[in-house]
This record gives sequence, C-alpha cells and structure tokens, in this order.
Amino acid sequence: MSETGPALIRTEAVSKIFPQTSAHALEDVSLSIAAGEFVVVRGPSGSGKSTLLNILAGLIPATSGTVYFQGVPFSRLRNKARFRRENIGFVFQDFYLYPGFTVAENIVLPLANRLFAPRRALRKAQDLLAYLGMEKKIRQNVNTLSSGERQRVCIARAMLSDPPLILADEPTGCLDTANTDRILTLLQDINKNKGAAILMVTHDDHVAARAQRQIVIVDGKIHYS
Amino acid sequence: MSFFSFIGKNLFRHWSRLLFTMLGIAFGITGSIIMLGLSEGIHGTFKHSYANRHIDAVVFERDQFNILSSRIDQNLVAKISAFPEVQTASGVLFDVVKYHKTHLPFYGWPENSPLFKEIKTSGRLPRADHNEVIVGDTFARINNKKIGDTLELYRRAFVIVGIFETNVPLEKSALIISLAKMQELKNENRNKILGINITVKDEIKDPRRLQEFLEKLEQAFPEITAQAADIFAEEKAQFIVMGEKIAYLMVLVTIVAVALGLANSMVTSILERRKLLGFLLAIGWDKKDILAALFIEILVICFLGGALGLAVGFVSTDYIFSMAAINVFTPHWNDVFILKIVGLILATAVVSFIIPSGIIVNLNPIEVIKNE
Repeated sequence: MSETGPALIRTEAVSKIFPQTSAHALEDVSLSIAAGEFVVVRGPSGSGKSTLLNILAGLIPATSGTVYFQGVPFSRLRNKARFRRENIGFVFQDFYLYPGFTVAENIVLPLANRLFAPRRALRKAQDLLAYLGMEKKIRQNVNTLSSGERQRVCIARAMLSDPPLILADEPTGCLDTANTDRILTLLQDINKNKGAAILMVTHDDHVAARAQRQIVIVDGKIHYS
Repeated sequence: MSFFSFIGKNLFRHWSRLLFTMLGIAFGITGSIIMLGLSEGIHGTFKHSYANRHIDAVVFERDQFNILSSRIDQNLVAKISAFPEVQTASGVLFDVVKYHKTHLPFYGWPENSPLFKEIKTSGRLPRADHNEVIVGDTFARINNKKIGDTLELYRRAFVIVGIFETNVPLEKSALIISLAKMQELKNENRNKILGINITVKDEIKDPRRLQEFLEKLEQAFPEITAQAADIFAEEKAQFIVMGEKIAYLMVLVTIVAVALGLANSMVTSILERRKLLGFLLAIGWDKKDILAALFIEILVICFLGGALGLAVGFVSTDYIFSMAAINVFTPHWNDVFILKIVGLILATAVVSFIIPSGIIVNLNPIEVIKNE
C-alpha cells in the first residue's frame, strides 16, 4: 500500500463469499485510500472489482474483515443509506438518469426524498453545471443530451453533497475517445480542486494511467497496489 | 425538486397509462356506486318511510302479508286512540296507480289526520266531497304540474289543490286524497281501511314497552296484527335486503378486479423503473421512501379515478332512479354512503399496493451497480 495521507476509507482482511457460489469473490483484501487520492482498480472480468466497490459503499456486507470510513468501522454505522447520501458520490457507466426529468431534477435526485426540496440543492446544481460548462442546459430534458453530457450530469449529481469519496464504475465505458478524455480531465479536476477522493474501476489501460495509483485485483486478491 | 414533485413527475411520465388506469378505477367506482346506491336507496326508502313520519307501529288485518289486501274497521282508529299509550292513530288507504308510464303511490288520509301535519303543503288540503288531490313536489317537478292543474285518476278529473314537501322518500312522488274520497273511488265499504299508523307517547317508545303495548292491542282486537314499524318495514323489504347483499358481493368482486388491474399497472411501472429505483437505494434513499412514493402514486390515481367515478356514479344512479317504473325510490346519499365509497377507494389503493410493494422490498441495489 502506498497511500499518500490519512486513510479516508480502509479495509482490513476483507473477504466476501457469495452463498450461491461458495467461492471467494474477495479474499483477505486490505487496502487504504487517502482523502483526496485518485485510485484506479483494475482487473479482469469477474476478478472482484465491483464486489469491492459494493463493500466500500456499504451496499453489501463483507463476509469477514472490517471496513473503516474516517476511522469508524461500518458495523457502527446506524444508517447506511444516510452514510452513502452524505459521504459517497456514485458515477456509473449506465448513467441511471431519470428519463423525462430535466438536468437539474436529475442532479438533485439524491435529496428528492425530502418533503421540501432544499433551496441550496438547486443553487448547488446551478453551480455544478456552471463548473461543468452546462449551465445553459439546466432545464433541458436529459433524453436530449449526448452521452458525454449525460455522464457530466451524473458527475454533477455525484458531487451534490460534496462527498469526500466518489466511486466510479467504468464511467467512460460507453463514451468515445474525445468524451472519455473530457470526463477523465473533469474527474482529475474534481480530485485536485474539490479535494474528493476518487476510486474508479476500469478495464482500460489509458484510463488507468490518469490515476495517481492503481490497484490490480485478480481472482479476488490484490495482485498489485 | 421535492418528494411530491418527484412523485408527480413519475405519475405523468406516461400520461396515457395514467389516464386509462384512472378511467378503469372510475368505471369500477361508478359501477359500485350504482349497485350500492340502488340497493341501499331502495332499502333505505322502505326502512325510513315510517321512522321519518314518527310512526312507531302499524296495525293491519291479521295474517295478511300483503298490506294492499288488508281490510280493517275504521272504528278501530277511535278505539286504539283511546289507549293511554297512544299519541296519535291514523287510518289509511293505499294503492298504486298508473300515471302515464310510471306507477305512483296513492294515499287516502282522513281530513283530520295528524299525518297532514308531517308534510309541508303549499295550497290547501283535499276535501272529502270534491275531486281534489295534493301531489308530492317530485311528482309536480317531473310532470310539470302546478296548483290548479288537473289529473285523471280512476277515470275522473282531480284538481291539484296543493303541492307538498315531505321527508319520506316514498311520498315524494305520491298523490294524496281524502280517505272518504278514496273509499268511494275504490268502492270500499265506508268503514273499511287498509291499516292504522300509530305514534305512541314518548315513555312507550322503548322497544320492550312498545312490544308489550302491541301485544295488549292484539289481545284486545284479535282480528288485527300490530307490529313495530321498523320490523314491519324490514319484513316487507326481505327481497330488497337479499338484493342488497348481492349488490355488496358484486361491489367486492368489482373492487378486487379494479385493484388487480391497478396492481398490474403499478407492477409494470415498477419493473420499468427497477434499475432506477435500485440506483436511488444506492445513492442514499431508504426503501421506505420508495414505498411511500409508490403508495402516494397509487393513492393519487385512486382518488382522481375515484372522484370521477363518484361524480358519474351519483349522476347515473339519480338518472336510473328517475327512470324507475315506480317513481317512489330515491337515492340514499348521506355521509355514511360517501364514507363507504371513500373506504372502497382506500381499499382499492391498499390491495393494489401489496403486490408492487413486494418487488420494492426485495429490490437489491447492487443489481444496478454490477455491469450486466
């Protein structure tokens, strides 16, 4: 491990066995990601990258081992949904944008489960869109956006609550070269200027090369970090 | 965007589906209102016809089930009035007459009958020695009749001398003439009447005391049957009660069918959004947030459809009643009926919520994170 500062999120001997297969999806994984770090997780299909991401997000429990977020073990988190809402931003290859909703409505979606919409959420969405160069598209239906624009909206949505950690699962998987480059530059900029740590899963060597550090997983074990 | 605007957006995303689902509910509620409105309206008309007139007991010829074939002596009115338990006693003759395409209740009341005090008559009361009639306001309105107009009854011309308002549904379209005139029309013996309506004094109104008094009457006059008015009305309405039960059963079947249709529509909607809903769970929504959103969506659809169904149902039932062959029944709309319909709408919402909510409860957010 060669993280650069105090750990934002850390795993200690984490293993995951899915009851359906009885095989180790992850085995004895210990890693640490510092605040403000840009880390890429690489590995072949089925190596356990997404399982690791799910465990780090608190979406599935580890079979054994412990995950710490800012020094607090996950077992002590009372409300995992709230933890994710406040601390983790998600960016996925498949966007998961609500069709028919506007750009602004999709960005504030993480807070739309509240009876009254916080005004600051809309202001924040405006600021984020200005930062991403999309301020003129705030009222536009997301169905009318290009793939690159959609992914930028997803990034804005992930940044709504200024999370210290952004988990990105193949965020450039369905983008062309120009848009891939633009999104990666944006993520690097967010990492550098907004201070959010980024953990990105990718297959692509060129994409991986943009990160500060790479973690390679093979057959559920960390092969290289 | 607040929680409610999120729900609104979801609802109107497929407006045509929303419209057709709403219409399905509206038709179901309309059908239920017509079935309940008709059965309860007819039953209520019978049930309340005596209570609204403050009649506590009815006297008629012994062992006669059909009141129209009952005949008792008119002298009994005076004899029964003499009992200390009796407040008022009034002899009546009753018939059903054909007027154009409808059939109407036709009463003969003594000129001094206390029953006249129970109706509010504009004009004056009919006299025994004249062909005079007073008519219910519903009859006057439907047939466009006013005081001074004539009606042909038993092939004689009767002058309308009054129009009355009543709180007894059976009488809203009724015609009333003097008892003596009716006896003459029907070639009845002057001393014969069909039955006697009795109002007892307040201290006798308790069911047990009323029953004791009625038994006393039957012992005094073996040729009569004396019955509490509510029991009499319920006995005569046995077939109506059976129809009412069948109507309840049909409403239950209708509501289950509507709820299953709505559940199917909501399941489709949830399955379409399955990945997006899983994503919401991943980014920090609780399952209870999504369940609440689903239930509110269902409630909105049910109440929009239900409101339309209520309006169409009331209008349709009123129309059906106005077309009835015997124009004496009125819809029995009241707060309880409205509450029953609201209850039906809520029941539809709850039943149709159960199946799609199961999908949400079993939704696993990692389904959306893994690349499929």
